[in-house]
Amino acid sequence: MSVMEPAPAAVSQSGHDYFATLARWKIWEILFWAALAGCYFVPEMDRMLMSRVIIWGLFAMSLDILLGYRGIPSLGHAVFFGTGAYVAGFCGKYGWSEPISALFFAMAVAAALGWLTGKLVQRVAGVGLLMVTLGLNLILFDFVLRSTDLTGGDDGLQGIVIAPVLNMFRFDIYGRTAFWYALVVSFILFIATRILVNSPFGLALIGARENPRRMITLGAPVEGDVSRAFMIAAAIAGAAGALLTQTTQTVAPPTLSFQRSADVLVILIIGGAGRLYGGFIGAIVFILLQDYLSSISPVYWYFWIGLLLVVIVSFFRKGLLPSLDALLQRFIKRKPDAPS
Amino acid sequence: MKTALSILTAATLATVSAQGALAQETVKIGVLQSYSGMTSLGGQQTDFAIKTFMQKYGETPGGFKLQLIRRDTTGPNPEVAKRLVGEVVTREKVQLLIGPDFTPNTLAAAPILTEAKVPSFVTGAATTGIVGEKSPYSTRTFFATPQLCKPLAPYAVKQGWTKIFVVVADFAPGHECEKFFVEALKEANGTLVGNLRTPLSNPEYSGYIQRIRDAKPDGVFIFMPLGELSIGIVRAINDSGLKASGLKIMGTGDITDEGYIDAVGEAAVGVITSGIYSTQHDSALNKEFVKSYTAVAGEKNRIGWSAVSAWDAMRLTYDALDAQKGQKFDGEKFAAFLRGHKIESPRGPITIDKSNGDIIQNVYIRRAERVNGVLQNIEIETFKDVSFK
Repeated sequence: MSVMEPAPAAVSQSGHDYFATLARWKIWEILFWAALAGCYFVPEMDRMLMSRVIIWGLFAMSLDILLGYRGIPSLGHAVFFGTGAYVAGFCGKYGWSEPISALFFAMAVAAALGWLTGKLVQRVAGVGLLMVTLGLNLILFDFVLRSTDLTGGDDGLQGIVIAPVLNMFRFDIYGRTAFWYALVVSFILFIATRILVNSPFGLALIGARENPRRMITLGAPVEGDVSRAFMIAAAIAGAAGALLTQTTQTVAPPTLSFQRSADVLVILIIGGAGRLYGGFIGAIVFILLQDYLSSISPVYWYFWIGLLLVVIVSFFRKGLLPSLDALLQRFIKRKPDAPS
Repeated sequence: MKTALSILTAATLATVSAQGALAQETVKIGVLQSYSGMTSLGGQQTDFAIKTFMQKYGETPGGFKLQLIRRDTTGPNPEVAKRLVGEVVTREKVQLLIGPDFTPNTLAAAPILTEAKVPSFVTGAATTGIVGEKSPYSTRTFFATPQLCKPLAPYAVKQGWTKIFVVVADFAPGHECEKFFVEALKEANGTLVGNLRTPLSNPEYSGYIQRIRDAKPDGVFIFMPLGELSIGIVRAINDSGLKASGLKIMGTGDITDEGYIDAVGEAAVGVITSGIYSTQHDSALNKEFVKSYTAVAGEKNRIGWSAVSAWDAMRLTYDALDAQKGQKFDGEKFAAFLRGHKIESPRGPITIDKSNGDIIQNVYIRRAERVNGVLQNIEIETFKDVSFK
């Protein structure tokens, strides 16, 4: 995994300048968010679908903190997504219909669960980690499915009421409010994450990913960072789950199924891990393809999805974003060097 | 040049307006079913039924042109269903909906359909209280759980099988069915000698079968979701020798569903079930239905309840559209027309309830037998006009 941010050695500057360079917004980043916002104004655009893309992007980005930056693979990331979704659902069901405060609450609960998970797994590595996270996911899924009195089981939570955002914008069937709400929340959380991964804390995460033993000899503790990274990733995943509940007023067991954990991993890998934008790019490709293929061929669309995944992964081995980036770098380099 | 252009424009305008007067109004129908995964049989049957119906009765009821828009709900997944319903209603502008299937999906769709005033047919969800209670524009052509879970209790007691053991799958519909059956059993003065809730995934039945054996019942009542579980339990009871020793196996039609009965095999013979439809139903309309459906779908694809529910949804749609002949399509009138409407279905007569759009229909007690070498459900008794409550 050496596809990530430029290594510190490549930048011959002082530490302060290094972080300042990282923090600077690049033009394509601004273009990306402007284009996402611009989707709203495209006529005939399915805004519910776009808000779903954004939510999945945010969810995949939260996994990126763990996988891309800290190098922790998780097969149970839907646990945090589902926790956020159900907490937001319970809030809406039991009278706390104001969405923004409920969103914060859902994030806090998911974060607490994430911190605990981090504590639990901080000494586990590799395949063991996959199994522990997978196990946690299965436990929670079964719990939600079976506690029919509490969660409604298979039928999902009924009677969720979400008040208009800021008391002004009702969640309508055209997804106007849902789109802006999801976009604004995701953008704010994205900025927060961006600051975080470009800080010394982010650098420490990358260091621990690349060589934990060396980090320890440098005097940087790595174990505590695992639970912190889990906590932050869980909080953001929880926010994504809460967004989904609030924009659709529905929550059911599939929100924390193993399938969802696998899907988000696929999305991140398609887009490219360790880049923050990988999750969003992956979500755009995956969700839009899913929607398009399932509408032109409702019966056989899984076949096409599978085929495309194989194609994408075999031609863009590190994910779309890093592969395209590498291609671009090669193109730029070739001119001055011109080897052949 | 200028005059030529204006003549051309005028001519075009004239043609356009003439076409406007003659053109048929298109009614878009969203078909939201499971087309992929474990539950894809429902979507497949729905498609065959709709195709057969349109071949037989034409494609322009009441002068309206029909356009179908199909989407895959992927199974019980309310988040997907809600998004798809939103999409077909707001972007594709469908005026009618067949589906979505499953209770959670139906519940998730209801607020959108109510807000957009789109009439819908519930063709694949059986929980009570999810039709008119949730959307004034919905109509059920499937069945409601009590219709299937109650009648077997009085039937069993009448046959002298008074001690009953109840086995249901441990999920919401299972609990609901258990409740209705036990209630009806009490009313009929039968005795519940034991009950079990078995897990939904990978159950090992031998332990449960021992408990049934110990309770010494006259009969066992089973409710399992269609598929692996419904096949597995009947075979397990058969293999244990309980059936040979005289235990009556009863259950909802799921355990001998035409789509899976061949997988149950010899174990199914003699099993008593309650059902809303059997391909063996004795009526001219059903014979006609089976013949034309089989011509479209082939012998291999047997007819299940999803097919009949979709067929009846089409019958009701055609009747309601005929009633709006020459007018502009009106969703509210469409839904209102169906309330209290009565039709002859391949399953027998059905009535749409006046107050909430739910279904009132005959329920049949059937026995699984081999007919010309093929396992079939033979109707042996009829409970007339069973309520959905």
